[in-house]
Amino acid sequence: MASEGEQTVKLVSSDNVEIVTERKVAERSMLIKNMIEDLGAPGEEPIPIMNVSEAVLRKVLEWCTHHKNDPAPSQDDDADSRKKTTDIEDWDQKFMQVDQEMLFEIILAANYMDIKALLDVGCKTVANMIKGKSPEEIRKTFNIQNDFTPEEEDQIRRENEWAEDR
Amino acid sequence: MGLLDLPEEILLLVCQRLCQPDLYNACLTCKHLSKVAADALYHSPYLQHLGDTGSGTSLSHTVSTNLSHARLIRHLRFNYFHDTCETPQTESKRQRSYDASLVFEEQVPLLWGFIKVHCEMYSDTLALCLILYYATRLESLMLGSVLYEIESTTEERLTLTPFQFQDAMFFLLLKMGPKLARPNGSSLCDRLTTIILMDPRVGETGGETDGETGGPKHDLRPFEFSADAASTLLRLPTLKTFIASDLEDDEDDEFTANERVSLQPRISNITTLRLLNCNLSSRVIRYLLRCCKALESFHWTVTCGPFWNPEVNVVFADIWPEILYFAQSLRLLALYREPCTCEYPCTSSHIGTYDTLLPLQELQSLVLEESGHSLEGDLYDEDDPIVDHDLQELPANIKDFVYITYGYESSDALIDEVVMACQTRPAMRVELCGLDPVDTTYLEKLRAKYPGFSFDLSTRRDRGLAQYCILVRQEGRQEAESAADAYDKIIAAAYAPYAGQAPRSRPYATARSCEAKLQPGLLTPKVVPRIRT
Repeated sequence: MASEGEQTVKLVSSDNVEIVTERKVAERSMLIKNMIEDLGAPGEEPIPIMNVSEAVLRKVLEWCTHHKNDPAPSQDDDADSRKKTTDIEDWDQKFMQVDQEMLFEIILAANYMDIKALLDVGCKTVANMIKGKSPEEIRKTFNIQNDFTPEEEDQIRRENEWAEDR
Repeated sequence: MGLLDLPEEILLLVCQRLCQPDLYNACLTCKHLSKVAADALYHSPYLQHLGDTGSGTSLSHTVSTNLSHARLIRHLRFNYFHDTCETPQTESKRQRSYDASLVFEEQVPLLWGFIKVHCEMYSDTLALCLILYYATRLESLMLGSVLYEIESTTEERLTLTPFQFQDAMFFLLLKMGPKLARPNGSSLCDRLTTIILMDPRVGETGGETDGETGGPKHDLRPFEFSADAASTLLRLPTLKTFIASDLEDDEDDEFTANERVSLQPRISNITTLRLLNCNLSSRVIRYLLRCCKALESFHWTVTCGPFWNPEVNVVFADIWPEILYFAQSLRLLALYREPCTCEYPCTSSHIGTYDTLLPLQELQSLVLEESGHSLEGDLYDEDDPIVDHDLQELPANIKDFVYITYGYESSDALIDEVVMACQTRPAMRVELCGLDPVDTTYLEKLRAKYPGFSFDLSTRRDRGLAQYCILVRQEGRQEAESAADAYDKIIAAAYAPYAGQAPRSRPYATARSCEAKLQPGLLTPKVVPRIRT
């Protein structure tokens, strides 16, 4: 009988593509880990990942493969969620060098599949894209329309003036 | 798919990783992002420069006119620095200060009456009062700075505010709090679990002292801790953690005068009490301890610093019976003693042998610091050690023992003794701090000499000092959360809301990460020169 590390599981993406991967890799996702435990017979039943397309799922599994030996996240990691935005490993930085649509899809997939470390890296990446930019530069980066009237903008500027000083 | 298509909870996670100026800019981007960024911005305001720079006044204006923003505030951090440079206030800032007093007079006449009597009319004083009044969901308040932004170019121009400021804040919070009904009908402090009063030079994670004198870089006046303030503090029903530095007995000796009338034993729910660099007499410490119901962590640093009062008398043995009351709850005990620089025998810290600790059945972590005492030969100053030294007598329930000294050569005899102690207590780990010099070659020798034991280098930052420590433990020791770890978590949680706002480092680096950065050769611990007699 294969050990847990050698076992494989079948995942099915939202566009109905079956992907076989190591159980250990897949179990970086708490969603999949819990499903495997509930099913009791890993490898036999395909596990549907309803909200994630094949392309995104493969990308997520690439991250999980690289991080498959990382220590399991503790509850303290959740509590101390406000970490410096620049604190991203080199490999993860390169991994996140994708177009914005894929970046946001990875974040959504990480959230849905309950992979906290990947969600954290994704949010940090977006935060780094905002950091140091003026409102106009942020709009330009993310293709956002300014929907404030000049009066509304002035009011927000005044309300939040205390935060501008630092 | 674009940024704004992400669910709000994920956008909030993104915003929580931004510092205040970035959140300010995000608020001005568009309506949708503005709402989420404001949630993150007002969750934990960090007011670095008050008064002339106007940030406190500005925030007070906002919260008094926009209650939805005020309700978002959970954590508030004030650095009570005051820029004394002759930067002329702009007319608009003057106007805002004036407006703050008007708001007070109209909306909170009781508070305004109190402030007029007790406080000088600084705009930052008014600002903080207003923010506290309107922040109805405030959970933690941090006055002073733990993170000392050494890189800050403006820091050199700063001195501390006049002392009335911190006194006023404290009295406002504690004395007036229960009497004030706020906009939601709550009283001040009814959710407050943590109060931290900290001076930058004795920070938990960093700090700086004057290289020549060992004293504070800035002209800080210690906080006068009156019986009145203490008794009100201890009555706050939700308060669990009180951490303060530089408290001193008040000159009027109110504790003696009021002890009979104001002392109510076991009224406080405080479980973590940390008093750093305090110039408090045994009498005051006894008072504080006697009011606690079930203390879990007690840390007391005795100091004879620049503000030392020769009339303050510290006798460890006097407070020991009060500590023993917590035999079933105390998990961490840290006793520090600064080197005495005065000519008077002001401190007597001897509490006996390690056997003295036996009644503390739940004690897991013991931290002893004896600054200025030699590790060569006798471990402690034989005239007045905290504990007569024999590690074999450490109670079996102690899993963590941290011994801190400064600037002395590591002692083979000491290591021998530590290893012997760990042999009979497989779960124990001992951290020897402040040893000098330590190098990686030395660690390798120790590993070869004592197979089955691990020797790792770690760093500890405590009260502004970064020191290298040797962590000794049996290999394969089952790591369980110690009381010290639990305390670290409390501190981490207290500072977590501000993690994006200023540089932050862990109090303890991991041994592995620390050693990885080392090259063979001598290391020089960053020991700040101290006054020696």
